[in-house]
Amino acid sequence: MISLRGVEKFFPHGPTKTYVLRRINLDIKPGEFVSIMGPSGAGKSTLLHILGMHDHSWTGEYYFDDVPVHQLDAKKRAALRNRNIGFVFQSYHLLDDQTVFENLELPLSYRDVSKKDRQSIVCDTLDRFQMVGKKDLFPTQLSGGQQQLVGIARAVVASPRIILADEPTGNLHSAQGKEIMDMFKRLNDEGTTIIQVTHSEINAGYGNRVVQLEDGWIVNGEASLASHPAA
Amino acid sequence: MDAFLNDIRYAVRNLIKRPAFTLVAAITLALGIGANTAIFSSVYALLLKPLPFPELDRVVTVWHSYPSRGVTRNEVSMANYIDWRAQNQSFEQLALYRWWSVNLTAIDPPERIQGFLVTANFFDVLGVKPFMGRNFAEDENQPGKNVAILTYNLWQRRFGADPNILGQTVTLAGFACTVIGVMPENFNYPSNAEVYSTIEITPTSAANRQFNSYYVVGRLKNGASLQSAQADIDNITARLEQQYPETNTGVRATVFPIVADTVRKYEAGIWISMAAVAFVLLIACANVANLMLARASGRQKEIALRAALGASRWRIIRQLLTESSIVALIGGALGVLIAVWGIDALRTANPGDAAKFAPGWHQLGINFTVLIFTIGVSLVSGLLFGLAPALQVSKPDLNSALKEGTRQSSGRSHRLRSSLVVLEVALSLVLLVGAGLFFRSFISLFKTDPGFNPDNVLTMNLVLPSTKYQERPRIAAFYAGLVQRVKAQAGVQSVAAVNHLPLGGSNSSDAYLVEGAPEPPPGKEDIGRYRVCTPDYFATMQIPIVKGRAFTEQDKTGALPVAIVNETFARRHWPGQEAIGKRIRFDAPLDRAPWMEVVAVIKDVKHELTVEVTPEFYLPHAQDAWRSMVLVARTTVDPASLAGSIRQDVWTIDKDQPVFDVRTMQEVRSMSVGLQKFNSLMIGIFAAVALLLAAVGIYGVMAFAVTQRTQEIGIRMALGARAPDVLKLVVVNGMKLAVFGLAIGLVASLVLTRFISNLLFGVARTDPLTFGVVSLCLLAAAFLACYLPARRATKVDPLVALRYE
Repeated sequence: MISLRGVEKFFPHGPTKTYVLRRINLDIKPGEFVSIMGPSGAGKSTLLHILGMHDHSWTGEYYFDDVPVHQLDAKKRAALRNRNIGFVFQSYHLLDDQTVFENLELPLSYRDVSKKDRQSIVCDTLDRFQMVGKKDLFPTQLSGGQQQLVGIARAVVASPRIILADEPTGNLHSAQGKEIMDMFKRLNDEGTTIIQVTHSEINAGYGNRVVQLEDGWIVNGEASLASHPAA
Repeated sequence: MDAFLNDIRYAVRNLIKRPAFTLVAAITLALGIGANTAIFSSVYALLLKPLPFPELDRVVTVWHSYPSRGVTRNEVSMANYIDWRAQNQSFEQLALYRWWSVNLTAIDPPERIQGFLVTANFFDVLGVKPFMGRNFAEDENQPGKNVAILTYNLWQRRFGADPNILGQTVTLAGFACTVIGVMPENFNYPSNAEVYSTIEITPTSAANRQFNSYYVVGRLKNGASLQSAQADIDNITARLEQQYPETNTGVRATVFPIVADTVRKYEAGIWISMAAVAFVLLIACANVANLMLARASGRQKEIALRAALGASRWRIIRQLLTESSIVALIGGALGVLIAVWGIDALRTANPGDAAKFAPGWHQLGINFTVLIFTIGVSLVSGLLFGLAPALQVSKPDLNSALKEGTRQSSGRSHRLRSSLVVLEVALSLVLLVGAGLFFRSFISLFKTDPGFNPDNVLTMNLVLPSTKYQERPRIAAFYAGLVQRVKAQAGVQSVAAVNHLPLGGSNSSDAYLVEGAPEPPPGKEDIGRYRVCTPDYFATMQIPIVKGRAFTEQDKTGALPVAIVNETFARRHWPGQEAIGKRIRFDAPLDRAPWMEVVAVIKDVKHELTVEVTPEFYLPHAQDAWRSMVLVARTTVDPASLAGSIRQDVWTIDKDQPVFDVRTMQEVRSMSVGLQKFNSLMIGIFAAVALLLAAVGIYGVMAFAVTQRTQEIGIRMALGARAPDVLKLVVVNGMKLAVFGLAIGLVASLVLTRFISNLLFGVARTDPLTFGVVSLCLLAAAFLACYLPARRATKVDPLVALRYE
């Protein structure tokens, strides 16, 4: 599904370069639940944003379903991303002036889904996440855990094949974190590929593979352990 | 005091530290304050202090009025004046004067100058004494005195400021007049005056109640009010009506303050300009307030720190207001420079020949009062644009403001900034609507068919002196000879002379009778305009003759008196009948005003573009030989190129005869709409500045909003928003403000245009086209102002935006 070959990212500093990622080769198969781990500054979030096609100033090759992402222009890359990828952020990044319902509706509106379909999809998602009663609340009226649940719901509302999560429980206490990770596990069980950045061994335990980064290098987990959790 | 100085010191330091902000704010304000200063200087010079007379509020004008005809101002007869003077209780003095356009000869070159014949007490009424020499003496209103007082300007211009001018003689209208005085330099009343002489009061003229050609000025007694003077005059006119029913039925008099009376023709235009620049300044203030708010959001931590260290709210507000006042004063100083330039431009533009006709024009400039106004306006502006931001940021949330990395502005601040933009858009729209209406009005005026063809016509004025040209045949012969001579010139297609040029600003009117119609009661006579012209006038001006014939050489003294009427005249008096062959005459004794047979009906001619055509008749010059005529020549070449040779023709006949106001007919037409053109230009410039400022305001708010919303935009892009989505998000937000402002502006315009409806011509004050076009212009400018920051928003890198995390 995802294949990175020789991906590197650096910042030029005068005549020298500061590398953030070095010679990254990584394959991720559909249905995997991958945890990217490593110390601060190892390049975890950078790798996640390259995978999420937000970052395009890198070198190397990136194939998504055999489509060479590194050769796509910004518009095609955005279209590919919108079709396949959902994001969950550490700080939730919900829009404070929009209700839970409107926050969920947002990704669909960017995918030209009709108003009627949007409403039905959002209602289904709210139901699935058991948040129907909160649909008219604003994010500031929710707890951190509830906000992150909305963040996940927003990530899945457009039915992506992959969810990228950047330290999704980083701002939550352990009980809330568990609830979120259970949700990820459930989604993964339903077939969604999950790639998370985490510092937590416990959270990594929800997945079936760990990619360890240090100083921009993958030191462990480069290859896929399983083609499918069931495998 | 020490704290105040500290505030100033800190404010100056702060402003120097942010030169870009200080400069942008000061320039924005300078535009508004400069425009206000320039226009206020004209308000001061032309409306508030146009006449340098002592105790100006006691000086008044008195006019004949005809309430039954709706006429509020008409010239006065000498006999009525003498009665008013003798019978009133309210005036210290009443003086009489009349126009005296006069040839200055026996000096090279001869020149036509503007003089006034006055009663001896004229300068006493105004409270002004000659700067050199003496005033007229009471007995100098007797015939044959021939004395003159020169204006300072004429003394300088034509007599080289000769210190020995007193006692010398100058030739005016063919009379040798002894110079007895020179008026002070700034004395220019009535406007454009260059010389004064005395009115001859004879027993005949003193008894004449029908020759209404005089103007009256008066000085109220100490303690007398305008109302008491009016009541006094009302009593006298009522008595005179009883006493002289033949001439005084329906004749009343109205007393006006001299300033209001003098400035009435251009007052409205100047006040409208003042209102327009006030709007521009408000918009500028709104812009700077927005800048201050944007800047304040970056200073929240500093303010919070001050509050945490014990500064009271008032202390913080005072500090911020000191800063805004200093910015405003810098803007004011720059504004004065803009005003100096603006006043120079105004002087050069000389709208409607104001230098000639607007008293006070030469005092236009920056003086002490204007400077005080500028400083006042600057400080009020400082308060206006500084107060809201100061109130807003002086109540910081210490907890959040002092946290590292906090960079958000409050929703309240955003609402205030948005409200300011809405206000700017609304004010701009009002100005744009005003400008649009004036422009349409001017175009409509300019496009109005005057009823003749003004292309390729040269005009020049001549006034034959009565000393040399006394007999009517001689006057008629002069003009007939001149016409023949000019006609023979190469390049001249047709030539004629007329007493008043169409659109030239002067007209003659008189009461007339129509044969067969019942004689109107006194005071209800038909008043018609009349003109006197030589035979080829209609051909030269290309005024179509609907029916009948033009005047010919045979229409002369001794022949059948004839007249030509306009279509309005024929329609009014002979609807559905043949006008040719009908007879009319002036309303005077039959021996002096014989019946005249109508020989033609011509198309209506507009002698003033803004006024409806009234009944008018023309007489052949050979039967009513006026001395003062305008030569009109239709040419096959550039008309201006023939000015020299035609002038030479005049001097071949009479070498002493001055020729003046040589203009093409297109110039005359253009001058006749000069004030309207100027008004539309002025409001147009102010509206353009307003539009620019409003667009900059919208841009500023949207650019700031984009900066504030970088993270939000990043999130949206991470969630799949494409460039058009982000573009739409920003543009729609900005356009919502613009549309809201537009709606308020439209309502305000509908209300405020009531005040200019009197100045509009050929366009309704609610003209949908104007409202539509200016609204579109404003929306287009707003769209552009939103589009630029929106484009920037599409370049937000979600990766960078999300790093704020």
